[in-house]
Amino acid sequence: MDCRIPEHELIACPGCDLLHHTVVLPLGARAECRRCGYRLYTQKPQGIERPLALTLAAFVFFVLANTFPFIAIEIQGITREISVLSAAIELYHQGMPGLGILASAVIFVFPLLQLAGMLTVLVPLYTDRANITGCKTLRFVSILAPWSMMEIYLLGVLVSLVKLATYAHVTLGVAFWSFAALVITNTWITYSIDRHDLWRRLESLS
Amino acid sequence: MSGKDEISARAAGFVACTICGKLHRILQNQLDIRYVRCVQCGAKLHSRKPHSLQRTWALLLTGILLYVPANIYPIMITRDLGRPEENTIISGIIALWNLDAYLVAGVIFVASVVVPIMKFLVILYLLLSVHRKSPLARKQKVRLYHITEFIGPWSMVDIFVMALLVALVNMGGIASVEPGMAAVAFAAMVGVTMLAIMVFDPRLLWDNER
Repeated sequence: MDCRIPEHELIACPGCDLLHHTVVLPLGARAECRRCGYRLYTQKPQGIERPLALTLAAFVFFVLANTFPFIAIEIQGITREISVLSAAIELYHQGMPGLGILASAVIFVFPLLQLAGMLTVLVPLYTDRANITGCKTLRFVSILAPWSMMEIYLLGVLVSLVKLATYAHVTLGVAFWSFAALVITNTWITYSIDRHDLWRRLESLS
Repeated sequence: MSGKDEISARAAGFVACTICGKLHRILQNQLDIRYVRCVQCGAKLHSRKPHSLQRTWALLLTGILLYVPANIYPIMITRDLGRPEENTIISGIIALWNLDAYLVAGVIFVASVVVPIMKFLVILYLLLSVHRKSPLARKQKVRLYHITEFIGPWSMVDIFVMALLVALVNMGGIASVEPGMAAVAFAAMVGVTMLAIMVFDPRLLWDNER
């Protein structure tokens, strides 16, 4: 096999397949593809510690959001209280089991698997231990990413609350604020990670 | 690569893993690499996503077809003291507008009408422009692709709103909200068009350069 150029010093742009030499970036800098502008990689500060801390925080918010009452409404003296998952469960019981399962997957199961997956990847990297499942888990997390829709659910919650506010008295529970915090933390995790860097770290450990 | 010489990974004999980015050197006689997996993450290796255009076309057309029942059938049925009132996506938006709930009507309109139609048009445009010269620069097309990829799932907002109203307004005989058939078609449309974007390979836009 002809291997004049060592492969680890090259990167192919995922957007247009153009080859680039990788260079060591200063902190906070970003490398973009010369041809299509795709963000190739960045130099994030504390690339392991920060996402690890945020993932742990997200776990706490996740537990709180799914144990405490989410929203309570009162119409004509009748109060009704729901949890985060109630919307999905109600769909299931109202003759739409498929949609109910889909909804619980995108607002509960997939986000939970993603957080668990991130921990499985980040903890061994943090402690500098070799991790045989790390690469497979990170692949799984990457494929799952677009199907996690907590932030969209939060927008749906806000819209339906505005819709109901004129007819009913709405009370926001502990779970609502935890869920909002979870969405913010989750987005923050995405921005604190550089995937290219994470993959190369996994590569050097194995 | 320094200076002007631009070479794609494929032209240089490399295949980059679509999941982890790891480069693999592939010999000419190994071009049929369908069964080769990435040495790092185990994903299937392919220089370009397999049958990208056919799959995108199929999923796009499925999405457009699903959008028809999504708009014809009611998305939710509201019962106020026993009287059922069926609302489609469009009639729901008009009702909200008439109630002066402009913000909510606007959010639902963008998520359920503007985003899906824009998504159909963008995917259609990308598919048609792979083999053709088009007025937009390729860099802009890639940007369109990534914007569409990002905003696609946000269409689900209307489904979540419906589901939340079903869960919240369930007051026994006084008032209730039931989900309508259109919700299934709409959710399927969102899923299918997300897949259409995923199976489309933006690298194809750059392959016929010279």
